[in-house]
Order: sequence, then structure tokens, then C-alpha cells
Amino acid sequence: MTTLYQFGLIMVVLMISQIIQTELNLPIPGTVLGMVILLGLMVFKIIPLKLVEKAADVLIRHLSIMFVPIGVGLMTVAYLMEGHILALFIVLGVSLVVVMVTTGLSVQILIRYMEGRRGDK
Amino acid sequence: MMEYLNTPVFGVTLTIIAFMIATWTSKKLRIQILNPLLVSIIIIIGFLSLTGIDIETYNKGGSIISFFLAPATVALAVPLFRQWELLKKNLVPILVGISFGTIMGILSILILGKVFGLGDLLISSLLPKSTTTPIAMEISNMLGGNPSLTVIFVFATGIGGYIVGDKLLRLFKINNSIAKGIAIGTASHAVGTAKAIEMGEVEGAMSSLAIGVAGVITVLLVPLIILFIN
Repeated sequence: MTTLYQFGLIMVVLMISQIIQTELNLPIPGTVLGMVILLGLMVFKIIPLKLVEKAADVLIRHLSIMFVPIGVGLMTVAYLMEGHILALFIVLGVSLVVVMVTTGLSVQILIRYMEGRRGDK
Repeated sequence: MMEYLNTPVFGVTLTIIAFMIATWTSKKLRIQILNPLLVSIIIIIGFLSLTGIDIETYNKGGSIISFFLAPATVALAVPLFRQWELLKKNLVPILVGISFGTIMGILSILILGKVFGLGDLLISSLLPKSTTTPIAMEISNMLGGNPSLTVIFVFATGIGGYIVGDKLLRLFKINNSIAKGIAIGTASHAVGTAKAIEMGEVEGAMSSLAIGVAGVITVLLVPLIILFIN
């Protein structure tokens, strides 16, 4: 399939996901639901990887530029951060450390625990 | 002049040219903070401020470029699917670890945000900062945050993870390759993953896997935690 048709397929998945999201009033974004649905379709071998990978790779390769207009929107909302810059830095920094350390430690402990259990048998 | 600017052509062209200049500068200077996304944003904001062209005019074209974020988010299923076997092999530690880290991240922002009196809009914009930008924007929107602020917070988190990731993991004696990759990907998405790829093959693959998984887990957990607290 050409990249265009592959893109069309991704759009169909997106459209269906947005309809499902709206109709069922799900508290998750339609786009993320679309990602989960497409992943499911590939895992259960309903859609083979090669039917979407060309278009998906093009989209992902150009992801950065798609955020640019959103970032430019900062122009109109930057004032909201005024007086909070230092606090934001602290919150972002602390939270980064918290997420990285708790995730890393819990994965490491679980892997060692499961390997230990396997070793006992 | 205004009638020429008042079409989508202007915003699309300006965005692509700014991105081109930004990519070129980043490659030349090799300073991590000067990445193409940030530099493009600065160029465009500078240009609009200097010329006095308003943002609505720019957005006629800008919105066409950011439209593709929606299908690109769906497309994230592809890299995730490529790592599927890796995920299946370590399913329990990965899912439990990412969920736990994500919950702690959300709680740390809710608590610190309250301590510093940041207000609901900033807190909602901060909450998804560890996830990949397209997912983070959607979560921010859903919570009543501001996606433009979220883009900056996500970016800052990614850069932070890229810079401190290696040292932080060593400091806490996290030396298992799977744990290292998952930790970096969960905390600092794709920007941090660049560091994980430098650290090793397993670290890189695990980190890219964690981006998608952490995104989905955050999407599911944020509304639950908010519901629980209210």
C-alpha cells in the first residue's frame, strides 16, 4: 500500500476512535484511544505492521514541527507563569527525580524478586 | 500586505522556514537546550512580535501543521508494537514500575503545586509533563490545562531527564539495564530516550517502549487520581 493509503487507514482508525470516545463519553483522549486500538489491531494480527508502518514512520519523524504552532501559543499565555517561574522549576525538577527514581527502583526490585523466585525452583 | 498574510500559506511557510533555520542552528551549535522545537518557537514568536502580525493570522497556517498531531499520536502504536515482544517478556515489572512511578509523579505535582500556590490551570498543565508531547497535550486539554504551557513543561522535563538521568540512576544504584531504560522513558519521554540510547541497546529499547506505555497509563490514572482526591 502506498504511504497515502496507509495514512488514510490511520485516519480511519482515528475517526472511529473519536466517534467511540464521544459516543461513550470516555475520559481518555480520542487520539490515545486510537493508538491503543491500532496497537490492538496489530497485536491480534488484524492489521499487519506493513499496512501502516510507512505512513506512521513519516508522521513520527516529523513530530517535532507539529508542536511548533502549539508552542507559539505560549505568546498569549506566558503571563500565566509570571511570578511562578522559580516554583515551576522546583516542581518540575523534584517531580522528575521522583518519577525516575521510583520507577527505576520498583522495576529493578521486581525484576530481581522474580528472577530470585525463578532461581529457587 | 495583510491580505497575503491572512491565508494558511503564511503560517505554514513561516513554520517550515523557522524549523529549517532552527534545525540547522542546532546541528551547528550542538547545545542540547537549543533543540529545533524550542528555537523555532523563539524565531516565530520573535518574528510575530517584531512585525506586529497577530497570532490568529499565524494560526490559520499553524493549525494545519499541528493538525497532523492527531494521526501522529495514533501512529505511536507502531514503535510500541515493534517493542511488543520485549514488553511481554517483562510485563509485570514494567507495568507495575511505570504505574507506581506515574502515580508518584502525579502526587508530587499535586502536593508541590498546592504548597507553592500554583493554581488549577498551572497544575493541570503540569500533570502530564512526563508523557510524550501529543499525549500530554490531550491530557492537559482534558483537565482544563493549557496545551501551550504543557508543551514547554514537557520539553523542560525531557531536557532535565537527558541531563541528569545518567547520574541520578547511578546515585540511587539503579543499574539493571531494563530498569534504567524504563525509568528514563517514563520520566522524560523521547528527549530523555536519546540519553538512554547512548547508554546502551537494552536501555534505548526499554526507554522507547516506556514512552507509549507511560502515556497510556497516565491517561488512565490521571482522571482516577483526580476523582479520588476530590
